[in-house]
This record gives sequence, structure tokens and C-alpha cells, in this order.
Amino acid sequence: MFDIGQILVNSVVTSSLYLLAGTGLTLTYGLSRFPNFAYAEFITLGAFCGLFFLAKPDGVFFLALIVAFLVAGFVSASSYTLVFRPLVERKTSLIHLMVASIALGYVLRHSMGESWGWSAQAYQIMWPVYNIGNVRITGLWIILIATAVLTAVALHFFLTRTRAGKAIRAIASNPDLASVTGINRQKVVLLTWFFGAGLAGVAGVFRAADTRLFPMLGWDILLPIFAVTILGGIGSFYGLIIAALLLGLAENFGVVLLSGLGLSTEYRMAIAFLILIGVLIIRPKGLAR
Amino acid sequence: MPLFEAKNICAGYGDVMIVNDVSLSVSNGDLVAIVGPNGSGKSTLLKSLLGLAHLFSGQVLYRERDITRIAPWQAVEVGLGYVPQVNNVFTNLTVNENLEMGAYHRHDKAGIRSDLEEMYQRFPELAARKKARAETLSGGERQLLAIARAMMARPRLLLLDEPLAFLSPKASEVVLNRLLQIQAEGTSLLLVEQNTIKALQNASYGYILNEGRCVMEGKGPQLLADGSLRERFLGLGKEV
Ligand SMILES: Nc1ncnc2c1ncn2[C@@H]1O[C@H](COP(=O)(O)OP(=O)(O)OP(=O)(O)O)[C@@H](O)[C@H]1O
Ligand SMILES: [Mg+2]
Repeated sequence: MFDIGQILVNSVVTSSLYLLAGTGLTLTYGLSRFPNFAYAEFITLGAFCGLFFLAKPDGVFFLALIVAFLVAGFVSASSYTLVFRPLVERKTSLIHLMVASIALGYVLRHSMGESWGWSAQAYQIMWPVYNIGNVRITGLWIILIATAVLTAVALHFFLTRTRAGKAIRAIASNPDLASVTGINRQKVVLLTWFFGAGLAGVAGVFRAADTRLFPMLGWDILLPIFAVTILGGIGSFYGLIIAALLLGLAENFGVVLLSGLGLSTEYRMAIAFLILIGVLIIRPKGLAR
Repeated sequence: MPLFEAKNICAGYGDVMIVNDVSLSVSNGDLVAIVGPNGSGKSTLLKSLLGLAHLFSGQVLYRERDITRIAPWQAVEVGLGYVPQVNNVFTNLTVNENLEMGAYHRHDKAGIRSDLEEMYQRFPELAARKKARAETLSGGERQLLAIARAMMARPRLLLLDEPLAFLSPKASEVVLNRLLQIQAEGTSLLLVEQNTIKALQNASYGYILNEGRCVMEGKGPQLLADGSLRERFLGLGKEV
């Protein structure tokens, strides 16, 4: 019933989604040093932005991705400027920043629920399905994987070759030194919050296109996204790539195991949870450190 | 006209005042030393000049321009370089990237490239390790990298926080000689040091800090010669 090739493809699809969704989280976490739980809502927001374009079968998917990127990025950058930056500047403790992010998440999530409704919806766009041997792959998955790979390559060059990219790494490495070296930290941090959440918004569109669209969409996958971020080593983009691959594999092979044991695949979240706890115990700083 | 002046600096962290009414000045080409026992507030003083510690009151002037409370990232544009006491390199970045970061605010690509070359000539230890991550460097190499990084901004005044601490006598000799060379080429130095003898021997002027206050100032060698000072604040024997 389960084809190993199919499981591998499913794993790469899962990994690609986690990579897109986790990139912004790991980069902003590396700079701002607190876990932003409102991050889930940037994913959901992107998914709802997609609905404007994809409610009809002839929607332009590419346009949905761009608008989701811009809107999620804008809301994230605004939330940084209006909520988190003032708190950070007053040297608010980590725990207070976390609570603030949970609170902001509630506000965003419920606003989206009130605006777009709480029941599940679906994009109306159709995808071609290809069968290669026993392996089934959709056009959506191909675009998702390509987007994730392109993003990873582009980000690699951005972080190692450009002035802004090196500045991001410098701030993550040593914030105070970055300041006295002449880097305007606030500017770089704001840029990162924008681009990171933009990618999360893009991930939201892919997630909604692959499953359904509802206000809990982002919140439901926040746990595995935090798991890959921590597994990869917070702030480490390369660790994130490996972690996303590992968790994608673990989840999809785990699902097979679950059904083999006669358990519901709803337990798949437990896999991310187990991996998260295991990593926190064995390698609290993640794979990359 | 002094190049750099700090007047009546009161500084600390949060509500706690550490540095109390300290004034200092650096003339063009000078090496000025700040010495004093552990915890006397030397690092806090430097940090407060750059906006890294809280400045309760006081005034900071660069060429008579008021730069009190500028943002830390603007100090570089003014002409101030800073080598912190600890964590003074970007450990996750390569040696070359560390140097590039030093020139972050500059936009003269050709100038940056020739300065990079110059740093590698001046610090051959670094040239051999260009592509290595800074965390793999030895203590002495890190100190050189931190100094070279600060020099990449072409500062007029370099603020150095204990650059000779924790180095072997040989490495410390190397670093000191490079610093004196930098000074000879026209960059002024404001040097915080535990190594009182070395610092004051080479300083044109020195300040002795104790418990956040300046207890004595004067020409470097003269401070060193003062017997009671040597005993009370410098932790040295009576004899030179
Ligand atoms: N970030 C900080 N927050 C609160 N207090 C601090 C901080 N850094 C230093 N202090 C306190 O300020 C006082 C002066 O410290 P400072 O580092 O300025 O001394 P120092 O003269 O540089 O000492 P050393 O020679 O050991 O480097 C100390 O009592 C120290 O505990
Ligand atoms: Mg100190």
C-alpha cells in the first residue's frame, strides 16, 4: 500500500513547506532573540491573501504568492515596529516578549476568523497530477519544491555574498559589536522581519492549496516549524535545511508506522513533539552547533 | 583643540551609577591610557562614550562637535573605532568577513579593497587565515583581528579595552607594537589597560580610575614614578 518512493516525495514536500515557513522564524529569532508565536499568523494571513486570487478556478497562483509575501511581510514589519521594538528597547524580559507575541497572535488569528469565517474553505484552482511509476506528484508540489530550493539557494548567496546578508549574520553573532561596527541594527532587523514573514506567507498559500484554508492553519503547523528551527540550531539557516529534511522524513515515515500500528495519523504532531523534546534533551543547541 | 573630550561623565547600567564625574581628553596623535583596578569602571566608561552603557550625565565632544548620546552605529561615521574587552570578533564570520564588516559604513569599494590588502600586509597572521571562521583563531590572533576590524573604518580615534589582557608575553608584545605603529601613523589611541606599566610607559597622558572616580591624572611616566600611587592604586611595588 505504501510506496517508498511516494513516502520520499511526500517527505520532500513536507520539508519544503517547513523550510519556507521556518526560514523567517530562524532568522528573526537569531536577531531578536525571542520566539515569536505570532509567526503562525503570518502563515495564515498569507493563505487568506491567496484566497483573493484563488477563489475561482482561473486564478493566477503566482500573483497569490506575491501578494501573500507582501502582505505578510508588511504586517510582520509593522508588528515589529509597533509592538516588539518598543518592548525590546525597554529591555523587556524574554518571557514578556513571548507573552506579547502570543497575545498578538490571538488578535491576528481572531481578526482573521471574524473577517473570513471560521469554517474551512478551499482554493478552487486545480493542479495537474503526474504519475511516475507508482509515485503520484502534483503540479503544486513541483512548484512548492522548486520554490523552496530556489529560496534556499538565493538565501545562501544573500547571506554569504551581500552586505546586508553578512550584516544579518554579524548581528546574530554579536549584536553589540555589530552596532559599534556601524551597522544600523534596527534597519537590518526590520528588513529581516519583512522578508522572513513574507516567506511564511508564501508557505501559507502552499499549505492552503495543498490542504484547506482556515484560521488555525498557521497555528496547527507552528509546533513542527519551531521543532525544525530548534533542531537546526536557532538562527542557523543551514541547520534549518537539514532539520526540515529530517522532520519531513520522520513525519512521513512515522505516519506509515502509525497506520501500521492501527493508530490515527492525527498523531503525526506527536512525532514533531517527540523530536523537539528529544533534541532539547540531547542537543539543546541544535544540530548545527 | 583636543580631538576628543569627555566631560563630567556619570554612567552605569539601569539605575546603578558606576562611573562618577570622570573627564578626559585626547589630542591628535596621542596615546592616552586609562588604568585602574578590576571593577573600577574602565569598561563602563568606554561603553558610555559609545552609547553602549547608560549615560546619566556628561558631555562627549569630537572636534568640539557634541556627540553625546549618538547611536552606537553612528560613532563609526564620526571617526571613533572601538575594540571591546570581550567578544570583540564576529565568531561565526570568517576573518575576511570580519574585516569587511569593519568597513560596513563605507561605500568606496576601491578604498575598501586596498585597505583590506593593507591590513593583511600589516597583520600577516590574519592573511594566512582569511577564510577561517574567527572562532578558530587564537587569543592573540583574535585581538589582532579585532584591531584590524576597527581600523577598516579608518577611525581617527581608536578606543581599546584591555587589548593585551590574557595574551602570552610574546603575543602581548606583538599587539602592543602594532598599536604603537598605528599611533605613529596618525590614529590616536585611548587605551584601557590592566598592564599598567606597559600602558603608562607608552602613554603621553594617563588617568587612574578607582571605584568609578578619577583619582589621579598626569603624564604617563610621571604617574608611574609616583610611589604612593604605585602602591595604592596600581598594585605595583614602590620601586620602579
Ligand atoms: N552589564 C552590566 N550590568 C550591570 N553591572 C555591570 C555590567 N557590566 C559591569 N557591571 C558592573 O560595573 C562595575 C564596573 O565594571 P567595569 O567592567 O566597568 O570595570 P572594569 O574597570 O572594566 O573592570 P575590569 O578591569 O575587570 O575589566 C562592576 O562592579 C561590574 O560588576
Ligand atoms: Mg573592563
